[in-house]
Amino acid sequence: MIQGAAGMMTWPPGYLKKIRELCTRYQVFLIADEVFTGFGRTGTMFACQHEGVTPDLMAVAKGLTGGYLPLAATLVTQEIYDAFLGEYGEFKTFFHGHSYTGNQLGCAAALASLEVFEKEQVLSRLRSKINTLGRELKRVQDHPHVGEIRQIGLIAAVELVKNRTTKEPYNLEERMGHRVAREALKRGMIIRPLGNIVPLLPPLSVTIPQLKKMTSILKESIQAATGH
Amino acid sequence: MKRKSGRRKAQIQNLEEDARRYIWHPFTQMAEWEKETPLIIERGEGVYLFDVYGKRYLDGVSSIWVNLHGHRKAALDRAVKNQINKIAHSTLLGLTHRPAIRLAKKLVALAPQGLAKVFFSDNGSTAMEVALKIASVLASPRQTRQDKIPVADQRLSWRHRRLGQSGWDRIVSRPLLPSSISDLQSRRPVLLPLFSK
Repeated sequence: MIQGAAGMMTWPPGYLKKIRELCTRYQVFLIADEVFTGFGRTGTMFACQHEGVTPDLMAVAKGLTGGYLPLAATLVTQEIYDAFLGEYGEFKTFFHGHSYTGNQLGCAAALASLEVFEKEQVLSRLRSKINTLGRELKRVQDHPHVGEIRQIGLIAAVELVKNRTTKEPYNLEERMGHRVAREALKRGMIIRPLGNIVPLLPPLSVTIPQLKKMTSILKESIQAATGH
Repeated sequence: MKRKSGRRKAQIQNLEEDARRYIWHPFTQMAEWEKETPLIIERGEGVYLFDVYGKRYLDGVSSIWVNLHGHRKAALDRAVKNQINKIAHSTLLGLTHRPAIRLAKKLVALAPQGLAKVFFSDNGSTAMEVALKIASVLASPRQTRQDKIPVADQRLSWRHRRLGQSGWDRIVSRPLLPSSISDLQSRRPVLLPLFSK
């Protein structure tokens, strides 16, 4: 539904579903990288759920422990798992692993994080925050150096451009994203740009007033950095 | 009070010196980093981070896309502390433990229907590496010591033959590690053939 490091590229609706259909038809494994998108970030527990897709393999990490500890998991179908079963001498074992696989502290944090989802109904309370973020971002939309704003769930990305009409990008050497981040830091917010793209993705626990403060700082920072 | 704050200031300055001197940061041009005063985070609370000077910042990117419920979330703090009182870590090689068992069960229940087994690792890169390795192992021809392909694998070998027609065999038959850096730079990303014309 979105590619993170590639520049917060949101996918058109139906794209993931089409990929699943193609993979099924041509017998190709579909690996869903839910490392970034997993655990509520896009508005559903997993991004695949937006389009009712079950991948053959699914990777999760990042939010798995609520952001506390390094832990990750790769989920697979029974069919894939079964393909590795056999007599030891057939050497079908999946010879792979890490020293800290399944670390208890990480698992404890993860279990507690998932319990917070249940007890505090995190997903159902996201809707109003997602809507607020969308509304607040509209105030940034008209800035002369904002080329495009993309949003899915509580993930937003502002793509800065030199020329709004032609969509001419800033040269990467100008480091406009970095300049915006420095202005945001002066105003009390930490953000990390991806080239000319300024992402805003607060914790799911962010309150509405805090969200408004974040978008307000973002707008001022863009104005200060671009000089408009 | 003055002496204490003077001493604390000196401590922080030493810390800033050491920060510039010893750590190589990810995705960072260190020539710039070394010229600036490093931002040293001391603690967190909710969506806020506090530096060593006590200045407060909104965590606008969830500490690089990881934080969900805020910093110092009581339930998570408590869970980690309770676990520390039992054991910090024991291996999943040949042994198992309650937190991993419970978490694996929970993940399967929450994940899209059809995902049934959980292979743990350390971070997003290793999790994807596991997925890619599993997929590429299954997509390669499998052989037993008797050079026979077992029945279960024949179905998957068929998959490989099908994939081979679209160019996957060029990718999956390569060793997973490049033999040189130039090999790494020149090879196409593994998933590209799926989308290229």
